[in-house]
Amino acid sequence: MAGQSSIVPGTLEMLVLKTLSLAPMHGWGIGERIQQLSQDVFAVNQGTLYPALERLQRDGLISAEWRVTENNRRARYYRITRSGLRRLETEREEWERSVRAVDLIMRTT
Amino acid sequence: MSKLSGWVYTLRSLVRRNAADREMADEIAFHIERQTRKNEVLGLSAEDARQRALQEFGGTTRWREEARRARGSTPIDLVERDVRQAIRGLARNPAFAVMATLTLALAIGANAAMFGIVDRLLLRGPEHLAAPEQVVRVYVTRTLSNGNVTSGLQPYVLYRGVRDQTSAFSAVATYLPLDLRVGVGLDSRLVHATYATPDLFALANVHPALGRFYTPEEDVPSHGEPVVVLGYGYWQTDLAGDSAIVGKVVTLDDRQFRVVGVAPRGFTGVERAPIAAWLPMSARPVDPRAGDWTTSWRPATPGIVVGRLAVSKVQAAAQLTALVRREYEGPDKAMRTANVRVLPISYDLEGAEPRELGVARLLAGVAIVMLLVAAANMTNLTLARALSRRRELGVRVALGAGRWTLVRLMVLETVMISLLGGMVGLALAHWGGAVVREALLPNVAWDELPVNGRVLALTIAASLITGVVVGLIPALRVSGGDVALALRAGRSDSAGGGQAHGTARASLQVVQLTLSLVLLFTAGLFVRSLRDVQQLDLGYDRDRVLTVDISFPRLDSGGTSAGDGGMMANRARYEDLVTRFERVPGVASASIAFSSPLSAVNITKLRIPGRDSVPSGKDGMALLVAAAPHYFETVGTRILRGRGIEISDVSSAEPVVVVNETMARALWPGEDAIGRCVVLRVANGDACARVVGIARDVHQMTLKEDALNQAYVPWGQDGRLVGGSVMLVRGQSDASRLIPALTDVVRRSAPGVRSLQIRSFEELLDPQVRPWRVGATVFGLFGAIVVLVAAIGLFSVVSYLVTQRTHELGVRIALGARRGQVLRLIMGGALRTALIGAVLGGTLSVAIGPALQPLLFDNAARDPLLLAGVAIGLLAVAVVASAWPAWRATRVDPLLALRSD
Repeated sequence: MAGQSSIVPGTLEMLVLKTLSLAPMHGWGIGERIQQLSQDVFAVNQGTLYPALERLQRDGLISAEWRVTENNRRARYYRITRSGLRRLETEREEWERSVRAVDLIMRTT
Repeated sequence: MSKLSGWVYTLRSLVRRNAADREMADEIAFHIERQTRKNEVLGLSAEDARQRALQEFGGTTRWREEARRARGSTPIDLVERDVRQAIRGLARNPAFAVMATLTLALAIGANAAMFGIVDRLLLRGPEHLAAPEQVVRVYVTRTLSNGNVTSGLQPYVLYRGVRDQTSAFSAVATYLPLDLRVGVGLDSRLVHATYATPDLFALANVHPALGRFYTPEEDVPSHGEPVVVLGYGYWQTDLAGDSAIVGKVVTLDDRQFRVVGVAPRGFTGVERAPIAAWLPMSARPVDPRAGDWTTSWRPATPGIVVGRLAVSKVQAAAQLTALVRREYEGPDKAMRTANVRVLPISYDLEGAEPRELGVARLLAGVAIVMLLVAAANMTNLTLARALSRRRELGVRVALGAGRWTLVRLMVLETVMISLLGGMVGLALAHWGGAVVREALLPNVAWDELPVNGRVLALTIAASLITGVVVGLIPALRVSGGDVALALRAGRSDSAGGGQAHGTARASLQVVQLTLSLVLLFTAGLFVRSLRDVQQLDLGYDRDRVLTVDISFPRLDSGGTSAGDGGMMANRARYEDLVTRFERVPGVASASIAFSSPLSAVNITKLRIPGRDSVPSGKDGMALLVAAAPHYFETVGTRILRGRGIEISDVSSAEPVVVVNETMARALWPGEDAIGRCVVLRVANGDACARVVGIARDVHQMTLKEDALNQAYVPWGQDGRLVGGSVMLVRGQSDASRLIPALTDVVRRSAPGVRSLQIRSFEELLDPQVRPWRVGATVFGLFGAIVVLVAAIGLFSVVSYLVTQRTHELGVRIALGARRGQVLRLIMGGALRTALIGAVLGGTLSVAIGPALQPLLFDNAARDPLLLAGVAIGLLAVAVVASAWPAWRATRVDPLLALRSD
């Protein structure tokens, strides 16, 4: 597990939305997926996922339903909604802007 | 949009809070399971893999909680938190909480109790009667030379006319309430019964609990066997709810009736007294000499006519008026111009609203005033408390609480107090309501419990509204301005923002004192009425005299009882008993009378020989009493001149008469009546009776009545004035203690009596005195409560002020202020408020006076002396209530006060 770090504060919900924009997924899978996509750089603090999922649901950005997994186990699957996709877009722009800004500052010699 | 859906989401998860929690637990369990599996794949043992998974998750309970919070189950959680906080807040100041709760409990309890009564009396009508507001009574008003006479008793023929010839009512019935005797002899008692046409049941739209109601065919004079429908209560108590009662025979008033059914539980017809038996109208005992009661316009036994309106009241009255004027047959010319009115069924036989209803309505109004006073008081306390909590509130604001959070918190506190008060109030209403309704209207078939669903609903609503209003006003005021300023301002804030709050507080106190004064004044008026009623000189002693009402068995002396021998035997029975009564220890004297006060009215026409014209109107009539020797000393009526009835009068042939002052004045104005001659039609036929004495005026039947001519003739001379007499017994002291001894005398010496009732004049008068007694008692109680509430309110507000100004007072005292100055400073405001309240209350009292007038006994509603007394009393209470905390203020230690900040 060496070389792993926590995800950047404040980005968890954006990352969840991104993950779900690729495919519907259950909670555990989302965490795994984030870790995977970040090429094992980010380790999601697993418990924090669930409050985040609740918040996203409450804001109508994702929806949830119980489904049966490939292993015949009941799990709650989350799916991104239309307003979730829109939010993801604005967050991504926001993120890119700030990354560019931080980058600019850091490059300044 | 997203906000709305967020609410929906929150709401849904609230509704299915448990389900959502379970789902979350399932979800996390699934997560742990997957992670465990992953760890196993990475080579850990099953046990370690699970441990590791849990560790990585970081505490399932914690995140479940976090998730729940994120889900937004906030309202319930917040309420829980707020309630806990409110309880803590109240617990910090238990004196306030207890005082406020008690205050509200009294006020809400009074409202609950009075609502229960008014609801039954005025809002809902009698039990089982559908749409009672459509049911009306028929009154006929005749215009006579001396004014209008309205009567609610109508001949049967009018009922039939209304039924068959008009379209005013969809259903119409006639009935007559009457007391019947059940049981035999000394053990017999009277029960309320009602003779009614069977359409009364149809009018009320009820169905029998057992059997059937009687039919129109059973309600005709020629019907063979009399039938009866029993009242549910009577059937339950006296007949043990015998389920095979239908077809059996019961004895009422010595007559046999076959039971055909049992009325539904609580059915009282269109009146409110519990009814033991329903009998056909034709089963009434009628005097055959009075003619055919079904066709006569002046029958001896009329009835009350009620109908369910099919047209408007005005139209119904017009139709019935036309009917009466057209159909009336008889000598009474006034009937040809009579007017018919339809009035609510709660009205009495004279077409007026019974005084009890007025008192009940007034008491309900007063209860509401009490609630207002209590609410004003509590608002004031809450305001004062809120001010003293400004620092605490400031800290909360500094910690991020919004204005609404503060308001919510404060309102929640008062709502909790008022709900608690409501609960205690319900207990009070349960106990007090029973007392009030028994005292005010004992003859009403009440619901079983004073607190029913409707009362409960009203109480909860009143508590909630009171709590919200009482909390909201101070909360909005205090949280208004810049609360953060308060934090900096610390204790001395009363100097700054205090002005506006001071005004609010003062005006609330003024309202409270104003209402208190009005209430006290009203209470005073009622107490005075009661006193006047009790001290009213009726012309006889009401507390020392018993009336012995006895019904002897029929004489079976061979022939008719109308014969001379029968009359003598009948007389002897009374005389024998009276002689025995006189020998009972404690009896001062005893006598016999036919139609003595409060037992009956007997009227005779007058004529004076030698005068051409018979005196007209009232003057030509006299109330006639046949009195045995010792009558006047026994009842306590003074003989002003001449003498009373003596033993020699009864046996001697010369007709004599004792007249009252009014009659002496009316017939022989300016002359001496003694020795004059008057013809009393009923007693002496055409013979002339010599006036031998003049007696004081006596109230024959009621507390309030115009003086009428009264004539006393010797008892026993005329056989018609013997049967149905009462015996009168005067005790040496409290007469009611003699009752057992007298009963015993009757039991031993006249074993065959059919019934016996021994009651004091006091008891006979009681139904008339009752409204005033209840009014005075309840008003007095309400008044005392309100004064207590006002005093506590003043006291606590002044106390708060003192606490608030401790710092300032310390400075003043340190700078050399004298005690008197400090006292004046603190009390000045309170007394100014009290004065304004007294002036406003006085004005209001004078203004509402006319509205109270009809409920009072003779005395004027404007009573400056009483008003002044009440105002001074209230001011005195205000002085005392504010003096104590003010005195404490003078004891402020300047050093401590200055250091305390």
